[in-house]
Amino acid sequence: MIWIVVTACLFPLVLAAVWFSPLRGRLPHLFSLAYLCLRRGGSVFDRFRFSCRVEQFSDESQPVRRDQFFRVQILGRIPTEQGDVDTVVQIEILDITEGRSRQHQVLSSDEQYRDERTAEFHSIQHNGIVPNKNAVLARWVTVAQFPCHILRFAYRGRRKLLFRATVIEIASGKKIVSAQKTLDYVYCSDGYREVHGRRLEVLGACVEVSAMVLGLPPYSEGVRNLWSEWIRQKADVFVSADEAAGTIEAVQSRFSGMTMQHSSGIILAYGKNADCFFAIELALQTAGLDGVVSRENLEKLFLASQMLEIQHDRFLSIAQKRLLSSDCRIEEPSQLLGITSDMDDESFRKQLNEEYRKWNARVTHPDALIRRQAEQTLTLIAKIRSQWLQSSV
Amino acid sequence: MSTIAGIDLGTTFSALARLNGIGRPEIVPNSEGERITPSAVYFEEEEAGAIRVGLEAVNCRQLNPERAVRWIKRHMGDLDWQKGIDGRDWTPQEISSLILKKIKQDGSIESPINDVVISVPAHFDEVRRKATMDAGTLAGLNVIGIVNEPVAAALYYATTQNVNGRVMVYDLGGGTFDVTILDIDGQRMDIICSQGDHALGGVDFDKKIIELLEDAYRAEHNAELIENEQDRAKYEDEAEDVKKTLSRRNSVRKILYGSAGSARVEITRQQYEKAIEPLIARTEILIEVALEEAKSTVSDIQKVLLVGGSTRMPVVHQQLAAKFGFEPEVAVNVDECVALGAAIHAGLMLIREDSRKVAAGIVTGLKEVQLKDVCNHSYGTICAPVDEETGQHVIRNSIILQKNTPLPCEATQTFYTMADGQTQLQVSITQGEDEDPDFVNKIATEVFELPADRPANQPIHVQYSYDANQRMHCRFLDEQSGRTLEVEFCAGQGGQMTKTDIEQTAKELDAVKVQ
Repeated sequence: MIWIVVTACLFPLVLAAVWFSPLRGRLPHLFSLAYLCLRRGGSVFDRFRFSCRVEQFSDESQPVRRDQFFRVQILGRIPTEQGDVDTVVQIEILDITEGRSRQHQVLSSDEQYRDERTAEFHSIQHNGIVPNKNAVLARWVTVAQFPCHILRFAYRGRRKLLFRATVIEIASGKKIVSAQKTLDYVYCSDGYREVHGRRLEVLGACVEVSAMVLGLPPYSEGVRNLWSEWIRQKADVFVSADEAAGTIEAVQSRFSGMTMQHSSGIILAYGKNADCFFAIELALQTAGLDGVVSRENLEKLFLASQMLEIQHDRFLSIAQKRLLSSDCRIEEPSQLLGITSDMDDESFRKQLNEEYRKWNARVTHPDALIRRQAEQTLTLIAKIRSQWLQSSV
Repeated sequence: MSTIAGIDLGTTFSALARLNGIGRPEIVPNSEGERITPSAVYFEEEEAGAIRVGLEAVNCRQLNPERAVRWIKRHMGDLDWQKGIDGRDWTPQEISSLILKKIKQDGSIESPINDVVISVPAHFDEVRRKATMDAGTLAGLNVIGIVNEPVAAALYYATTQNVNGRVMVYDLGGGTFDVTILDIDGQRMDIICSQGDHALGGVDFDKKIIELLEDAYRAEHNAELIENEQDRAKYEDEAEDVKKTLSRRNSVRKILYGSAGSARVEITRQQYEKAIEPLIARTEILIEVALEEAKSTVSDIQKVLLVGGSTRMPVVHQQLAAKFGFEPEVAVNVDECVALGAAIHAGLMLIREDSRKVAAGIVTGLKEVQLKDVCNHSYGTICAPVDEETGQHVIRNSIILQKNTPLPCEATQTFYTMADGQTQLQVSITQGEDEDPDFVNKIATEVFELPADRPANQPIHVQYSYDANQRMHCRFLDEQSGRTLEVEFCAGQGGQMTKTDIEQTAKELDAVKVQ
């Protein structure tokens, strides 16, 4: 009875104090917390309230490489509706550095602690059977322990992390109780959003190379679809169709200011080693998309390969594979066979013979497409040779 | 003892030769008395089950081209090619077996033909060689081996002529073109290299004539000359005649009958030679490639031997005379020398196997002949080295045995396992000249079981060897454990048809009568 009187008298005073204090914004949260606590049969002032704590420690047993670890522990009442309930503990981590409303996902590089679909950090451990209603864990129990380096954050630097431990009933999947704890952590690597942004920048530069090979915008829907699909495929994380389309729009809008040197420079500086080849593959694919590769297209492709520091032979073999097919007409095919205007007769003959030797070996390939491509190329080589003979006569 | 024979299974014509009692090869004429048989098959429409092969098939072809097959050799080993006749799909092997059956049938009148060697273009790969052997087996022949056409021609040439020095065999047939360079010293022959073009032969020259005829008709009537398959069959035969005439005369006059009326056209040799310039350029490239391969120059070649019907074209003689500075040799019959050489090769193979099985006269006749062949293709394996430019593993074909290596030969390369605890290695045996695995032919794939719990980079030695009987042996050795995987091949082993398939089809085809 006394408690009711005290509460009734103090409540308006507390409310007024909170109203004029900085806590005013969190009033609904405090109320909901108190309501939830009361509904579960506990009390706001329950000294056995379920709680969790997180520690960051280094493994002293490893003299050479002292890995930092996170240890998550739980303590307190687990208010089940009946006895003998089998439970698990789920640990979630949220990056709330920029506030709870703008939280970022925390990813995991270890598949043991990873959601298969989203790559987010995910840990579920068996907690055992809760013997009776309102059973209490009297001592801190470790429910998860994992190396810090497996976590991937959105950005580099000081991060505020929210660890949430939730006890779940296995049979029904119902959440019984949960507690959370925040922790500051310094992340020293590039965040995945930073990496992703840079990746998009590199992929954008690859698209720029293709755009310069093709010439002035606007580009056909086929070309834009090809680029969009390509960006989404080559980005290491999920890229939405809108995001890819945005990148392409940006490329179109800055076309006049683009140079092959600048775009190749970005790819070489920030891209992976294979990105140069991806870029040239895309440019070749783009050039051959409408079925005709002009002399100008081809010259720009050669220029792009030089800027991307791709060896001449390597570029020729990629370009031949992609362009010397029945679906594509090339205005100056001799260039693709390694023939240049400054070649003397002997080098010309040798180069053509070398190409003939190469394609002739492919003419009996089991794949009909490759056979056809080889036969067409041999015919082309013979035609070039015969034209050369005529001109030299 | 059965007759030892050699068959030239050509794209346009085939021929049969056998060894006589003193080991000299002779052509066996067919039932029509001709020394060569057109490689054509016609499935009779009115007479169910009747199959015509040879000249009769060529004559019937214009009646219903849908029921005729010519130039089947071009499709040999092609899995996608089939000819549907009366609800049955005929494969290239089966069609070829009908031609061989007719040849066997006609050649067995005097004495049965059983042990044969069939010739193939030098550039035929394992799949095509196997398909050719299968065709022989389906025809009821015991195919003891396969010989490269230029090698067969050279064998006959060397055993009938007194030649010494470096010779180039120029084999321009109905559908394929081969160049082989070899050293001949009396009856001893060392093949240096062979190069071939799968899609260059008389058929392609005929196509150029058809184009000229079509152009002429179009110019006169502004209409198409060939509107259906029947027209095409007719003008394909006409084109062959025009080509042959142009080898003798400077021009040919023809009356063309098309839907828009008739047209009188004249085709000159000059026009024709202009049209076939790219094809002749192809032969020139192949000669140069073969010379480069043999590390020879034009001046090293002492004789050029012509083989194949298409070498009758004057432009071929002119081109070779201009290139080498002397006239090419036409000392042997260009249509028959391959079959004759194949018969000699059959005799040599049987003597090498067991000379007691061969008549004494043949053994004495052939004892002086020595042939040293080369590997027809490059053989390799698929590996995943680290690319220097990208720093990533890339799938590559690593060539272990190089093309044109003198037989017998052996080569070893060492590769390394890629992952810790790797317990399996997928080994692929490839045929082809490319580094890019997309462009080579995987002729066998096996799994090599390795011991567990070992770190990466364990050396695996891969050894390929190839003997004079075209038997290839591949050995994969894990150095650390001593475990080995051995794979053995014979020319014509593997391929599309299994032994059971062949037995079943042979039984089925046994009932088929060819005329």
